[in-house]
Amino acid sequence: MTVSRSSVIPMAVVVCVLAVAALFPLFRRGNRQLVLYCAHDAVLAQPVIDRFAAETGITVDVRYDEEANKSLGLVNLLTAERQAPRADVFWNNQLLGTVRLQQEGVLQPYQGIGWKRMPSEFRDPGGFWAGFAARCRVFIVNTDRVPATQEAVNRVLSRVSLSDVAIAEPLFGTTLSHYCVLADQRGLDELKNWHHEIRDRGIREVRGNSMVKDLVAEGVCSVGYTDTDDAFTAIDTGSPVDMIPVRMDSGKTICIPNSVAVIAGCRNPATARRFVDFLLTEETELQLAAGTGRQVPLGSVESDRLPGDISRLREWAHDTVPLSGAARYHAVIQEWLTAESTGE
Amino acid sequence: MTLWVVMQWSVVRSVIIATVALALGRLVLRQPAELRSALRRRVLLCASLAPLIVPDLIIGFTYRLTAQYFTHSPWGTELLYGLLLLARATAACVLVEFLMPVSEVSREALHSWSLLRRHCGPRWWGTQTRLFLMGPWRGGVTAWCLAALIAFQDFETAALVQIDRHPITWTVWLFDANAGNQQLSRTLRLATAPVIFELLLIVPAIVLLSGGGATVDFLRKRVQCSVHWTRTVVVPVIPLAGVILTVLWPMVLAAREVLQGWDILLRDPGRLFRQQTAGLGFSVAATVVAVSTAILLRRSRRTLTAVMCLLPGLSGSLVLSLVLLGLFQLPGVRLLWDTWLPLLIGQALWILPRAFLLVFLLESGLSPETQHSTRLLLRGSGQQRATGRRLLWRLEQLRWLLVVTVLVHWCSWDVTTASILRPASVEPVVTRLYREMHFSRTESLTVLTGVTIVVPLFVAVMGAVFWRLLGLLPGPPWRR
Repeated sequence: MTVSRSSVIPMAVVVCVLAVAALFPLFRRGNRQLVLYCAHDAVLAQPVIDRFAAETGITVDVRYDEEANKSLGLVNLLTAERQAPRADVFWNNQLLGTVRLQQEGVLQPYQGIGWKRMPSEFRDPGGFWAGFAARCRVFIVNTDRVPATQEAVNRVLSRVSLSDVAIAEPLFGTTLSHYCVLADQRGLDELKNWHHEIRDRGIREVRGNSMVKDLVAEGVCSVGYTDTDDAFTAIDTGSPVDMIPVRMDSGKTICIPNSVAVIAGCRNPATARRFVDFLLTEETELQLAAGTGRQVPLGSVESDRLPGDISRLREWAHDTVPLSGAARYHAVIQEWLTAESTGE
Repeated sequence: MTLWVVMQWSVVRSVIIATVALALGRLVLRQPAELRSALRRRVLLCASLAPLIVPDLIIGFTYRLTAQYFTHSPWGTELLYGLLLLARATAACVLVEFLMPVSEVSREALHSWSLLRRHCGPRWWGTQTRLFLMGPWRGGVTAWCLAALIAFQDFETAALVQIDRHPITWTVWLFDANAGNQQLSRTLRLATAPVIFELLLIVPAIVLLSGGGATVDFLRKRVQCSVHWTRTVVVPVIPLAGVILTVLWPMVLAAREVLQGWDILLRDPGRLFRQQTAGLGFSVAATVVAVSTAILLRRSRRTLTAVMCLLPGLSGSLVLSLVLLGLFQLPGVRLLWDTWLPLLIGQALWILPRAFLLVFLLESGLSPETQHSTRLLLRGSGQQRATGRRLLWRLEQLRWLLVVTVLVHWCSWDVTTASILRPASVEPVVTRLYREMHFSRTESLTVLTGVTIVVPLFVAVMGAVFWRLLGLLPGPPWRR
């Protein structure tokens, strides 16, 4: 193939730019001390990470989860990178994905002081992960339209049409966890029946919990299924909303903790463990409780240091169904819902 | 919902949108000569092109709640989504027709050929169609193809206004189909039908654009049409509606948030600066690679090679990113996974089809005779050289700069490639923007959006000033 003179410069430009892109970052790899994959909200997580960096002098490169790559969220990315992991620690904003990573051999055990601090129901017995700072599934209620009581919400839910109720798509996020818990509590078939029934009755299925919160806050819907952190966002902005916990038939709530784990074969295992211990301290849990997301501390904390509106959340969190059984439904439900949405 | 049903929705939607957009675009450009002052025409053109510049994410975010009012009305949702797409597709039609050189197939040639109908038999129809395609239909067909492509490829707006069940679009459907971490081979299989449709759109456009033509200053294009009050009323309404829908209304909604979100710039300026620099740096580098590749492809004149190079970008940013992710996990290239290379390649491939079309339009719109005459002026005395530089600036350099700026802008707003392929140590600002959007932090989102739009524009203006002041370059760097 002959290359004309006029084509040489564009070709050289392409080659040079690609070469620089490939080579330059390799030189700075040596400086990196911790790579964190973080699915928690960046605005809430960043101050915690900054505090760790300030206290230890360790540089942390963080990769947050984005809605945009949900179909390739951090859990899937960690699975894809399993042969050559670049992450040292995974801070998940829920639990079931972490359990799935454990089952796929992506995590390594670590039973540090932080792990020991957590109640046994919120940590893996083998030390593969530990839960902390939780949120609960709640009904967010527009109080201009419906009182925030269980009876009023039940009345709305028992109407023939559910067009006044919103829920996030169960393919992703905490709604998927909610579905897993329902499958664990009621059985997969009953979950499927319930899912089809609410769809047939016209529930508004939207693409995320924050959208559910927006719909209820704006008065488009009266009631929505969401999480405590989203509900607090609306409450803090002065929207006419309140929340009550979603309860199972047994009366139990659904409490979804953050979880943290060390990645198997990571480059900086010692720093990773140090970060895990840092994350599982009382100080970090209190910091997350004081943030706009009001994450509920799961380890022991001095109660007088807790923000006022956390106390009722703590009751809900400790009244939770166990999530261990729900984890086995994670892949099954995702597969079922994907097959349903793609018609395959 | 099966792929077949999803494709039907998507194809029919893009065909309808492209057809309506073409009609509207032509109305905008074909104003009666009597009403065409240069200023009026420039204002109309700028207004018509504005929807192309507003990021899809912002449009989707603005109308996400409006769309919820239509949750139980598929046609209401479709209408809203269709209007948003129509604004962008109309702008694309205006852009193509505006840059398209006048065909070398004259009216006289067409008339002469029509006189030969009785003598040529069935062959006549083939040539007649070819003459029309290379002549009066060329701009229209190319514009239609591009508009259909834009409507068909949309993802961000569709996802935000919830085009995910009834109605549906293939991009969102494919995104959801990937939720369960499916095999890459299955993703590619599902993406095959949409890519084939996109090829059906882009190949004719490439062939028609290769047809040559004579350049004409668009401001002086003569269009024969009558003055009628409906035309004088309708013409300004079309771009105005587009501007209201995609620019003014988002700005009105955002205005009240700006003051509240202003402190985000002061909270951690270092991080914001790094994110802006990363976003801009990757976009500029990817655009340089894409434009250089597009120039190479155009000069090689190999349609098949061009199509093969455009295929990855046509498959959409999600499929493209998943393929690159898979490739960079293979032994041997795994070492490069945590570098800048995956994101750079991803963005360059994603933007390549658009870069290719724009380079084609731009190069075919530049007359070799004018360029040659201008270069001759550069060899002359002081005054002639200054005139030559001024002409060169207007004829070439400014246009290249505009093309590069638009491509950089588009690139910097592609969130899917950035979120999947970026290295752990670098975060382009668009991923942060997306997170702010997800958590509905509209104040900071508004301010960040403003900064993200202004920064590339500012850099482009500075680049223009610098380039012009430098004034020594006889053309774009690769032409020297």
